[in-house]
Amino acid sequence: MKINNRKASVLSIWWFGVIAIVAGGIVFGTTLFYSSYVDVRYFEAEIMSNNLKYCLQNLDEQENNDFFNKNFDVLKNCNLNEKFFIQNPRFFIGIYGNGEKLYSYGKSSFEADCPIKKAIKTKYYPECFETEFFIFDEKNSSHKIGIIVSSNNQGGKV
Amino acid sequence: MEKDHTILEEVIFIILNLIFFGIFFFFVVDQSSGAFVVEQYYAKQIALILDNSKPGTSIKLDFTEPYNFARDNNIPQAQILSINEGFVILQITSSNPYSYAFFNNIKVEYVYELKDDKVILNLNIK
Repeated sequence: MKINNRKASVLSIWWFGVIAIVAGGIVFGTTLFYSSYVDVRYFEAEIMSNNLKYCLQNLDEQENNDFFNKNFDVLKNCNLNEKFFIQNPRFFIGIYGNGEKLYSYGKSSFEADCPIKKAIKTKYYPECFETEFFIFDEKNSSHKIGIIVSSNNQGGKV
Repeated sequence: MEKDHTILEEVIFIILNLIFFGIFFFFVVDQSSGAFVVEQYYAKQIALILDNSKPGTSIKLDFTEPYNFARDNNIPQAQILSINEGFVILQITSSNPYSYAFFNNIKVEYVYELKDDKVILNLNIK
């Protein structure tokens, strides 16, 4: 097909119009992608859960008694910063012993959000991590301990 | 003569296209290594390291990239990183710093170490 000069120049104008639209799309997409949230909340929940597991598996006899009598300050003894569980909570910890809830700290609604987060992919719900393990009481009988940790820690410009 | 004119137009057209796509390419590369991404990346990385550390631990982290960003933007060294009261605060541009919380109740001391054109951040957990 032969195209004369006039038609070719008209085509060039359309071509640069197409490029401008593509450029707009690339700028929009790239800006959106790279300014999006770098999400590490799941890893935080996993680390906190592992820290708690290590802490609870290494209690001395007195601490062990206190733990099963619900008289144990988990946050203080496991070296967790209380302010992130009390004022404007960013995390939730639920500790279960033999199916019964022993301790809970932080924003309790995060625990209810965990099954929803598992079912649907949503950015604004907290990330959750669950683990189970055994610890022994003073009579040397084993107890199954379950931990649920949720994190909705959001960073930002200050 | 007319043929030369057409070839010249074709060449200009190709050069303009190359310039356009070159600009796209450099834009995407620039965005992917942009200050905001670097700020978030390092603040969160340090926060995760601190969450996973026990008192007495020493950690070395390659901090060259944010340090160079901060130097290019005339941010004083003392203002680049701040770790206190459970927050990692990182500033590598003249805009507001980026802050991220860590849950481990620890005290942290840090110093920069220059080694073979690299900036190493030494974190000492107390």
